[in-house]
This record gives sequence, C-alpha cells and structure tokens, in this order.
Amino acid sequence: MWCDASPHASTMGNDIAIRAVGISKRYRAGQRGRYRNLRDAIAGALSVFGRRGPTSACAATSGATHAPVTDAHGYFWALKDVSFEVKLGEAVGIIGPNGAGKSTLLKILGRVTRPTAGYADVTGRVGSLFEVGTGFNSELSGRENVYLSGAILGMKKKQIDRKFDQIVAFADIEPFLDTAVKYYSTGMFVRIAFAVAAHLDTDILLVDDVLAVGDASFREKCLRKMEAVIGEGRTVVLVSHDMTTVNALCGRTLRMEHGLLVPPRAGPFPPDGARRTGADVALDSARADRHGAGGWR
Amino acid sequence: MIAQPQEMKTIRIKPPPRGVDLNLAEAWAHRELLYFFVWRQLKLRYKQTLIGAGWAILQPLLTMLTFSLIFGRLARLPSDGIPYPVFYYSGLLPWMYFTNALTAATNTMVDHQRVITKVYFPRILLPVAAVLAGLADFAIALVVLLLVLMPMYGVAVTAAVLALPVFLLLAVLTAVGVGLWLSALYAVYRDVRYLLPFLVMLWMFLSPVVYPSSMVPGPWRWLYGLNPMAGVIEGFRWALTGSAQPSGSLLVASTAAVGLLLLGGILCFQRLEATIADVV
Repeated sequence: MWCDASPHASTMGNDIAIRAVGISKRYRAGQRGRYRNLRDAIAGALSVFGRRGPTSACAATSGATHAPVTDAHGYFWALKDVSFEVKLGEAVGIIGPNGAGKSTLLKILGRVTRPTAGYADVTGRVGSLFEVGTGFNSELSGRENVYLSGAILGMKKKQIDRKFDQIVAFADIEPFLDTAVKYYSTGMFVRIAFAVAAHLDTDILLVDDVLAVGDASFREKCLRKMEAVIGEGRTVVLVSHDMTTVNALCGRTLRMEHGLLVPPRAGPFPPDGARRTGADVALDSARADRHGAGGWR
Repeated sequence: MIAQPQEMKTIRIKPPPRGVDLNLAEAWAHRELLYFFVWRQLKLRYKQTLIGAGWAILQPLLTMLTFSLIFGRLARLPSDGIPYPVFYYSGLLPWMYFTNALTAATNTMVDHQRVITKVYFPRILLPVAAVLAGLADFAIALVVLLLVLMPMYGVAVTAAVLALPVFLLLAVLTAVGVGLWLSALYAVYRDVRYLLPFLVMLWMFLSPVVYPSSMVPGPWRWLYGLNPMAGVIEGFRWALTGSAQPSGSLLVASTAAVGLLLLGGILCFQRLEATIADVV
C-alpha cells in the first residue's frame, strides 16, 4: 500500500500515469537579490543566461524542524532523488512537514518549474490546482473570470461553455455573475474560484492543499467533488497537511522529509479500510490548521 | 476506468536543455489562450476611466499639437513637404503603438508573477498578447488620421496605403522582439523598470518621429535603418501620405534588424522560460 521508493519498482506499463525517476531540484539558498542589479549583472554578464541555480520563494518557506541542508556550494536541495509511480486512476496523497519539498514536487509535475536532475513521464492532460483563484482578475465580472481562469487552467472555450452552468450552480453565485469580482465577499470569491478549478476535466489533477476553503458546508461540497473526481477514475495527486483529508481521499500516501521520500511512520494513520466519508472529514478539517496554498489575488 | 491510454500523450518533464529549444509548436497549440489574454487586456484597458478609449485619440493628438508647435513652428524642422500635423501624427501613430506595446509586453512577466508560479502555459503568450492588444488603440488613432486630420489638411490617400499592413507588421514584430528581450530580463533584473522609460526616450530621438530621415546623410542611411523603427515610421509616412518614399537601403536594414531582434528575443525568452517561475 505504501510507496515503494525504489525507482524501478515496476516496469513501465501503459497503466502508469506518472513516473518520476530520480527527480532533484536545487535552489540557490539564502541569496535572494543576488544577480539582480545591473552592477552584478555586468560582472557576471557572460553567465547571465547560463545555467545557474535560481533563487526561489520556495527556499524561503523551508521552516522545517531542521535547518535546510545547503551543500558546499551554497545550494539548497529542495528535492533529492525522488522516484515514484502513480497508476492511472489512482489517488495518491503526499504528506510531510513544511519545507519537505511537497509543493516543489507538485510544481515540477505541473510543469511550473523544471527539475535540476531526473525526469518524470506524465501521461495525459494535467490540471494544476495550486491555489484558489489562479488567473482571476478582480476588475472583471464573475462570468468573465470563469472563462479567463478556466482558460489559464487549461480548459478550451468549448469545455467552459459546456460546464458554465454547472460551475455557476456549484458556486451558487448566480445573481452576482455580472458583478466585478472585487465587490465579492471572500466567501463568494472562494466559491466561484474553486468551482472553476473543480470542473477541470483533465486526466490528471495535481492539488496542493486547496480543499480547506469556504465555510463548513462548502468545504464538504469540495470534498465530495474531489471524491467524485477520484470516483470517475481520474488520477489525483494531493498534497496536504491534513491527514484526515488525505486518508479520506487517497488510497496511498507518500511521506516526504527534507526533500526525500521516506518510509511512513508507524502509527499516525488509521488502518486501511478505515476510510471515512467526506462529511466526517469536512467537520474535522474545521479545526485543522492549514497554511500555504490558500492565497488568491 | 475511463482512461484510454492510446489517446493520451506522454510528456517527459526534464531539466532545461543546454542548447536551443525553439518550442513554438507548444505556443501555437495554446493559441486559444492567447485569444483570452488579448481579450482580457482589451476588457481591462480603460476600466474605471472617465474618457475610456478617448485616451487612444488624445495621446497622439496632444503630442502632435505640441510637436507641431515646438519642432515645426519654432524649430522649423523640415517635414518633406507634408503639413506638420499630418507629418507628426503619422509618425506618432506607429511610434506610440510601439512604445505602449513594448511597455505592456515588458511588464508581463513581473505583473503575472502569481499566475506564472502556479500554473503552466507557454509564457511567451503573455508578451505577445500585450503587443497584439495594443492594436485596438492603434486602430482608433488611425481612423482619426484618415477621416479627420488628412482631409482637414488636404492630404489624399494614395495607392501607397496598400503597403501599410506591411509596415504595421514590421512594427508588431519589432515590439514583440524587443518585448521578449525586456520582459525576460525584467523577470530577473528589476533594473529594467528604470531602463525602459530612458530607452524609449533615447530611441525616439534615434527614430524619424520629430524629423524626417531625409535629414540623415545618404551614406549613413543604412546604419540609421538598423533601428527598425526608422523603417517603420518612414514606411508609415509614405504609405499614408504617398510622398517621401523611404530609401531602399533603409528598409532592407530595418527588416533585417527586426528579424535578428525577433530571433534573439525568442531565444533569450525561451532560455529563461525554464527557470522563470524560480526567479521572477
């Protein structure tokens, strides 16, 4: 049931949706601002577009219990030789403390950033849900934002046309469809933003801890939607700090620490078969402490 | 299981290549998103402004009046026999389109920092969309010239106007080319914010906006033409008024310069695209 961390655990069949082999990601640690002004640029002019470890916002979030590991050259390895496979139609949870590399891994799978070493073969269209409200513009109306955000998240106009009514019904904001989003309440904004993302019908869905939005009843709706997505046989990779969500939705869990995939700890999870309903989870998650991917513009 | 493996493409996500990877097919596959970006830009352009698209007319018009007064009446610069208002307006038309498009394109990576770090799409769509969206303002300003200014000063449209789309395309490609360079650089170096207004001002004086390129000595025309906007602006004046046909060497130099700028811009941009989410 648990992840087999060895890279060649199974042969590449056509039932594999994601196969990551030896993925590593390096950031230049603690040097934000370096190479950012013209004097330095001129000094390093020849290497401006050469290969170099970029500084990153991700590095700044590494507030784990141990200091992030920098190597002798001042690099910080957010991911080190991470290998795993996800089968078609499987729902896999990734858990671990802040700074463990979960989000970096998801961003690589979502093609937001590239690995420093290793590779991943991803089969099928990928949808990324890394925050609520990606691509929303506060000056535009709800209706316009459904199209804009949908397109940015990877939907075709036809698909959005087809799903428009479902999205609006899910968000429950019909009377305000033509009002600029900047006049929406926080709750309304979160509902419409999540509704768009939830109706992405890609083969693979990468979700970074965005299920804890809105009030209790809307959260339950989100979780039920995720259950439905998984039930349809689509592949889901879910990063979360919230064990209850992961346990409720995912058949398998990977644990990360300090950029490595690690064997699961004994104890903290209920045994297999103890999966609970989304409603239980929604109630539990009301008290869950969550950070990270909840921001929006 | 609903998945049908034969329909699904496998993509390999790997470290950025060392060499050149001109992945324009990927951008083409996302052309619908380009349409959405242009559409958004047009929707947002004059939101919450009093006179809205009136700005597209006022900007070149007021600048033209000032130039006619200062460079025409006071400094008495030559205008190749074209009435000053038409001379300046027909030069400002492509020039203002270019600078507005360039500024918008340059800002795209930094303005869209948030989206860029959250979801994948070919980043090149953003600066290209910014340049294309500027065409709306351009069209409004062009109509004012053709329907108001030119009749007012008795300048008739000639067959040369058929060449206008060619010079417009040249202006678009110049804005895209330079916009790609600067947007990519701006993502890494915030110096670009200070460089850009300065660059635009110097560039204007190196272009035939306030004076005709016939003032540049013949043997130096080709060098002058390496500034692609020289070819664009002279081309515009000629296409609109039918007089002062630009020299061949200037046009050849300008077209070649656009090609190089564009190619370099695409290479520079795509080189940076691989790490942009990490540095922006």
